[in-house]
Amino acid sequence: MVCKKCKQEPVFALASGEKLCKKCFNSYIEKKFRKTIRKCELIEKGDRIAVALSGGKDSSVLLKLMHSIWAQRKDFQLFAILIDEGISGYRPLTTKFAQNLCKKLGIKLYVYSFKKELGYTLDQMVRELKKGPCTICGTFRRYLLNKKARELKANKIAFGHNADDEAQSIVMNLFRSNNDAAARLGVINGIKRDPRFIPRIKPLYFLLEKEITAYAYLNNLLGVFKECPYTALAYRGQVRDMLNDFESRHPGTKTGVLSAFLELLPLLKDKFRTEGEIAYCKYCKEPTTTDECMACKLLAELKRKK
Amino acid sequence: MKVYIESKNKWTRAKAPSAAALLKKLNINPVTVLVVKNGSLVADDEKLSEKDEVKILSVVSGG
Repeated sequence: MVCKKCKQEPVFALASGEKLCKKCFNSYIEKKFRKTIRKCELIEKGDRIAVALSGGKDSSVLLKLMHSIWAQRKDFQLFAILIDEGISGYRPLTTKFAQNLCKKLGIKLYVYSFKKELGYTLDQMVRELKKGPCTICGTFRRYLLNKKARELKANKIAFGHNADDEAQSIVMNLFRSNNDAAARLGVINGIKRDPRFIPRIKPLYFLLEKEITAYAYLNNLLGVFKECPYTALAYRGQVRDMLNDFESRHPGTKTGVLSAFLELLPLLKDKFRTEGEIAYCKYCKEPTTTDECMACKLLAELKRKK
Repeated sequence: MKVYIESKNKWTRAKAPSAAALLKKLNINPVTVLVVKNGSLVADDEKLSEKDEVKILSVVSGG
């Protein structure tokens, strides 16, 4: 069967069953991306947006699509931040890809490393701390991205989270009865506003991981496919496999999870907006929910072990 | 046909009339992969022949 729109050989079948050729598929992805930006008002005139770039497929696709919007509008500023956690044999490859992509698109890239900013590489932290590598990495990545984006005067950080990531988070929070965490999800992260906390936007929110990978493949954005050596998706991995199993048997499952959740999200945000206040860490003065942020707690533990 | 499975980083040989049938035979969920036939991305119901070289690329990643 050929592409219904232009009778060319199809490269992709959507969850609806519709088959698209390369040109129509690219156009489908770009239109869906633009619709998310427009409907959710993710980009406003005068914005200064930092793209959290890792060199992986999601953030590379995000950067290319953000750049295509910038090239048309030019009423906002765009740059990229890459956090080098210090994962030997992995991050140097994706960093190189990210640097080349930014050079090709003419986008300024700022690179910050755990080693230089915190004094330890993730490899060192994992050896010293009795915590999961993804917990350590996530804590410091969020910490540094927020801090550096603010220092670089960004008013938004764009993340490459896709529909699969979000559907997994929704289901995980539901299964664990974690409504507080669920309230922080959505196309624009967070519940409360604070000048030290830079809002995070997710322009790939409605695109499936398979669609993004196909777009990356067709547009030479796949780079080096190598999985992070610390990937340990114990619980998330089980939810991901369950959702993929349902999606293959009942196409549209993931989109259904997102749609149902987005109807409930305003109620969740309202409920949790009034509970608790944003505090500032007594050591680093970064926003947190207690008097000492997780990053400072982990750094103190590392210093004790030195 | 020659088949490369990226998630296992291995080449194998298999016989199937279509990409969908090949994935079923290899017990791979089509939602989690892309199928590349002779260097071109194809839809899951693409017909396959013995002469084809097929790559099954993983779409799920972590970290």
